[in-house]
Amino acid sequence: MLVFRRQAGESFLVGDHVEVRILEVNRGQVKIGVVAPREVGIYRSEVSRLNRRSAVEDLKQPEVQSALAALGKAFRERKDQ
Amino acid sequence: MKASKSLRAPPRPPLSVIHFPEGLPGFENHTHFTLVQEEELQPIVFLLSLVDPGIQFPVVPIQKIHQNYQLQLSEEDRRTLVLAGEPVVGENLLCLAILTLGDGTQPATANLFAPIVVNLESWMAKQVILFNSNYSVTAEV
Repeated sequence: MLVFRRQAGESFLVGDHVEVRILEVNRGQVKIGVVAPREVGIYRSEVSRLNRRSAVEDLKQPEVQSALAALGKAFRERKDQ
Repeated sequence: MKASKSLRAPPRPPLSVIHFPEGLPGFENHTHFTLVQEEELQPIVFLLSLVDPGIQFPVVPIQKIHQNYQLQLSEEDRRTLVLAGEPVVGENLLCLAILTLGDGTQPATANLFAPIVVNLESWMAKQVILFNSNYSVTAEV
């Protein structure tokens, strides 16, 4: 566990995008503010929605097989970039 | 009783286990994967979940889609990947785009905004989200 000290008014980052601010310390209580850009959450949910669409559960399905075969062929026919 | 040799499966090469400490967005509990090849579908390979082998993602090396792909890794990404040196795709890193298959009405697309990055030295991996790029999550292929 990472342990460090902050004073009221100071902040620290969790990861690259989430900032935690210590707003006020008063009689054993700590008031905390969390700042996370709205876009980060939106992008994450977009990626997870897409991942669920991309996941293939049954490779043996004929539609899946033919889509994969066509796509593989298209990639092979391209010049190696 | 004679042991029948023909009943034994041929030996398989050991799988390289790829560890995604954070899972993938939408699949957070899927922390271990392996790559599976099917000769006739190359260069498409499958990222197969070892948590639930019913889940697999068709992926393709990103340079097959985008010639000058710019992979910008954040400090957090580097930590997750346990990446010490400079990242060089094709040398110490594997960079894969997840494919979404077309369905007749929609074309097949590749996710260039959130590539799968595998550190080939530590076998640690992450689906990196390039927040500051203009790459598409649904680039036509």
